[in-house]
Amino acid sequence: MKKISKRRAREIRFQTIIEIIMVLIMFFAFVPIFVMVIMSFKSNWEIYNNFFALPRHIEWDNYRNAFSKLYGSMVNTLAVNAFAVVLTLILSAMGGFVFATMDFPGKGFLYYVLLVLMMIPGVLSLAANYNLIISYGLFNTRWALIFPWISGGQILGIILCRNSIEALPKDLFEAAKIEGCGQMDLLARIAVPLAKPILSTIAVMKMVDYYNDFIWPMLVIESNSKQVITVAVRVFTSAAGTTNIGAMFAGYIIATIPLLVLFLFTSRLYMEGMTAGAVKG
Amino acid sequence: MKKKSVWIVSAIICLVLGLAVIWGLSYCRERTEGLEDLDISTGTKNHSLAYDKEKDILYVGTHDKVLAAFEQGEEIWRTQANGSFDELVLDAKNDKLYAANEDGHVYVYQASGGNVLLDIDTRRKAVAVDVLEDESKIAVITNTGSNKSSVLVYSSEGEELGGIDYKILVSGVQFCQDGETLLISNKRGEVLHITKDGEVLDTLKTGYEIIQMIQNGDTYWTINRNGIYHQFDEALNVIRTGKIDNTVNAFMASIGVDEDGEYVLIGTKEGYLFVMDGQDKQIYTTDVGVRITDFETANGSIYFTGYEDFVKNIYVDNLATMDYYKSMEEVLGYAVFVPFFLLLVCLIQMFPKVKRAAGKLLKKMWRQRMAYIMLLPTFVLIFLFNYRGIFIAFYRAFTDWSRTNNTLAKMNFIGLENFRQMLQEGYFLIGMKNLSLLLVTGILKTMTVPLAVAWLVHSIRGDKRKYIHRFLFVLPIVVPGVVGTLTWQKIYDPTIGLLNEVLGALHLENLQRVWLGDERTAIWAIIFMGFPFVGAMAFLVYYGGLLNIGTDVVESAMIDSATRWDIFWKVQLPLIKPQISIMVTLTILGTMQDFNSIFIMTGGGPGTATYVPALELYLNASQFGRYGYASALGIVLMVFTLTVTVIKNALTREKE
Repeated sequence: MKKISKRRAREIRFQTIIEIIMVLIMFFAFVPIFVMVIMSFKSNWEIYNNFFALPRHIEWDNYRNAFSKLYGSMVNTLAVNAFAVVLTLILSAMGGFVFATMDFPGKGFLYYVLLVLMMIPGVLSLAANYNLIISYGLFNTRWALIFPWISGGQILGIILCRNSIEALPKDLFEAAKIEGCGQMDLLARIAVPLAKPILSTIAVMKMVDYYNDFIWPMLVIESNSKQVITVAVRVFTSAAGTTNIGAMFAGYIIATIPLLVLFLFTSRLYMEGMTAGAVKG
Repeated sequence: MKKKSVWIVSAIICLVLGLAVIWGLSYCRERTEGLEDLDISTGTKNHSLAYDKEKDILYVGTHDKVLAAFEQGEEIWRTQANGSFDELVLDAKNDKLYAANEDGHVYVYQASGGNVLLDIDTRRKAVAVDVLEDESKIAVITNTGSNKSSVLVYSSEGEELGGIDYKILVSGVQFCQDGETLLISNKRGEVLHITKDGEVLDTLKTGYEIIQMIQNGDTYWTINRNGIYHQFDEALNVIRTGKIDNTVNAFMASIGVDEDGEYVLIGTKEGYLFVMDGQDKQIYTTDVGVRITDFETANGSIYFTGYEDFVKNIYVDNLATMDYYKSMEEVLGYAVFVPFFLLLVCLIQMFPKVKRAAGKLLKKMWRQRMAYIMLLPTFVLIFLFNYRGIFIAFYRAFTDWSRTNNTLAKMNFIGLENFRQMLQEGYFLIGMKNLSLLLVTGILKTMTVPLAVAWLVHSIRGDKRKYIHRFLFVLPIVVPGVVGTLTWQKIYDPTIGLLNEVLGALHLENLQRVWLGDERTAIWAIIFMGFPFVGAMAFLVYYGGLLNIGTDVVESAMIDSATRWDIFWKVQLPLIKPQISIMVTLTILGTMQDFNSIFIMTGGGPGTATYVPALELYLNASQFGRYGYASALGIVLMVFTLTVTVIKNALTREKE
C-alpha cells in the first residue's frame, strides 16, 4: 500500500512539473499571437507611450481601417483558393483512381514522371516559369496562380488517392463493372465516396498551402484587385509604416482568421494534412 | 518487297518535309525578330535621339551628361554638359542641334562639329524643346519639383521673349505653323493651344496624363500614361486614336510614328515596345528590359533608345509582314510534329516485327483509352507548368538568358560561365556560409524542442488533457507564414519592438540592439525567429511516432523499474529514429529552398549579412532579370537537395 501511494505521489509530482514546463513553453509560443492581439486594439499613441499596458479602450477603428484595405484581396483570395482546391480534388481523385484501378501501357512510366517532380525543388525553374507565364499570356491574371497551384498540388493528391483507393477491396470495382458501370461511374459512385476521408485531408492541406503562398503571387500578380492576402498584408504593412501600427496588427489578425476558422472546424484533418507530406516523405 | 520501297520513299519525303518546316520556322522567326541593334555605344544610359537623314548622322543624348554624334556607325564627336539630355531637335538645314538639358540649359550645337553656338540659361530643368522652322524662335519647357512647369520662348539669340508658369507638369511643346501660337500637353491629360502670353485658344481633353507629345509632318501625336494615343491637327481635331492592349499594366514612356504616320510605336517604363498598325491593331510586342525614352524616324527605319547603352532599329517594311510571319511561325511550330510523326509511322511499317508489336501495343492502348483521357489534364498541366520550366531552366542555365536577351535568337551559349560567376561574384559563397549556419541551427531546432514537447504531451495522464495540450501546441500554426514573419519583424523593431522594450523594462538597455539592422545580430535574429521552436509538423510527427510505440513496451519497462529518463533514451528514442530522420531531411530541404522570411525580414541585408542562395536566385529572377544565372543557381540548389535525398534513402535502406 505504502509503495503504491509513494508511486502515486511521485506521479502527481511528475505531472505537475511537466505541466509547468508545458505552460512555460506554450506561453512563449503564444507571445507573437499575444502581441498581435493586444497591439491590434491599441491606438498609436498608446503603443508609443505605454507599450506594455493593456489597451485602455478598444480601438475598433484599427479593424475598420484594416478591413477596408484588405477586404478586396481577402474575397479574391478565398474565391481563387476555393476554385483551385476544387480543381485539385477533381484531378487528384481522377488520377489516383486511374493509377489505382486501371492497367495500361506506360502506367509505371507515367507514375514515375509524377514522382520525379516531388524530388525537384520548385526554385530551380522559378525564372523559367515566370517567363512561361508571360509567354502564355497569363501574367497578372488569376490563372497565373490557379494553373501552377493545381499542377503542383495534384501530385501529392494523386499519390495519396492512389494509396487510399488501392486499399479498397478489388471485388467492389469488379462487381460494379459486371453490372455495366463505366469507368466514370466507378470513379463517381464508388471511388470518390469511399475516398472521402483522404479527399477532405487533401482539401484542407491544399487550402492552407495555397493560402500561405507568397513569393509566386508577388511575382506574377501586379494589380491590387487580383492580389492575394499574404502579399496585400505585406503591402499594407509598408503603407502603415510607423503611423498606424494598431491597424497593421489588426490586418494580421484579419489575415489569420480564415485559417483559424478552418483549424477550429477541421483540426483533425488539418493536422493529418500537415503530416501527410512527411509520412510519404 | 515493292511495298517496302514505297515506305522508304515516303519516309524520305517525310524527312525532307520535316526539315523544310524547320527551315521555314527559322525563316519566319528571323522576320518576326524585328529589332536590330545598332553598333554604336555611348558608354552610358541613353535618353534622346536626333537623326540626319541626308548624312546618316545619329545624335544620341544620354542620361549621364554625354552627347555624341555617330556618322554611319562611327563616332564623329562627343561633348558634355552637366545633366541629362532630355530632348534633341535637329535643324539640318542650318547645321544646328538644339538640346534641352536637365542642368537648366538649352544648348545649341554646331551639328557637324559639336561646338556650342549658343547657351541659353533656363534656370530650371529643361525637359523639352521645339524650334520654329525659320529658327527665329525657340520654345522650352522647364520643370521644378513634381508639379510646376514653365513654358519659355526665346529668340534665336537666346533672348527671353515670354514665359508662362503652370502649376501642373507640362510634358511637351510644339510650335504651330503660324509661328506665333504653341501646343502644349500636360499631366491633366489636356493639349492646350495657347498664345505666347498663355491665353488658351483651344483645348483637347484626352482623359489621362500625357507623357509625350511629338510632331510628324502637319500632325501631332500624344501618348497617355495608360496606353491611349491620339493623332490630331493644329486645330485640335482628333484624326486617329487607339489604345494598346495593356494587360501587363505597363507605364507608357514614349511614342514614335513612321514617316507616313501609319505605324505607331509606343515604349514603356518597363521596357515593353508595342507596335500598332494603320488600323490601330496591335501587331508586335517585345520587351527590351529598360525604359524606352525616344524614337526617331527616317528612311524606312525607326530608331529608338532608352535607359541603357543601346540604339535599336526597326524596319518599317518588316512591320507590315510581321503579323503574317508571326501567325505562320505559330502554325509551323505545331505542324513540325506532323512529318516526323509520319516518318515514325513509315519506319515502323518497314519492319514487320516492329509493326506487329506496335499494332498490339496500340490495340491495348485503345482498349484502355479511358485511362489516358482521364490522365490527360494532369499531364498537360505538369508539362506546361512544371516540366517545361524545368527543361528550360536546365538548358538556359548555360546561356546568357536575361531580360534583354529574351528570345532564342539573342541568347548565347556561354558554357559554365554562370557557374564561374557564382564563385566569382561572392554572393553565392556568402549565401552558402549563411545557409550552413541556418542548416545547423535548423536541424538542432527540429531535433530538440518539438521532440521534448511531443514527449511531454505523450507523458500526460488522461486523454482529454492530452488532446487539449496537443491542440494548443499546434494552434499557432494557423498564423500564415507571412504574418508570423511580419510579427517577428515588429518584435525586433528597434523603437517599439517587444524585445527591446522587455530589455528596457529589465534595465538592460546596454543589451538593446537594432536587431535586424546590425550585421552581427541580423542572422541570429532570423534564427531565433519562432522561439521557442515548437515546430507543429515535427511535433505531430514525433507525437505520432511515440503513440505508435504502444503502451505495452513502455509499461513493461516501467515494471522493470526503469526511470522515465532511461525509457526515453533506451526505448522510445531508438524507435522514433525514422521520424527524426524524416524531419531532419525535410528541414534541410526546406531550409535550402525557403527564403520567404529572410526576404520579408531583411531582404538579405544589412549588406550581405543574411543572404542565402535561394534569395539570390529570386532576386536574379525578378529584379535583376538575369534568368540564365538564376537557372544556374537553381541547378546548384537542386544538386544539393538531390544529394540530401539520396543520402537519406541510402541510410534508411542500410538500416532495413
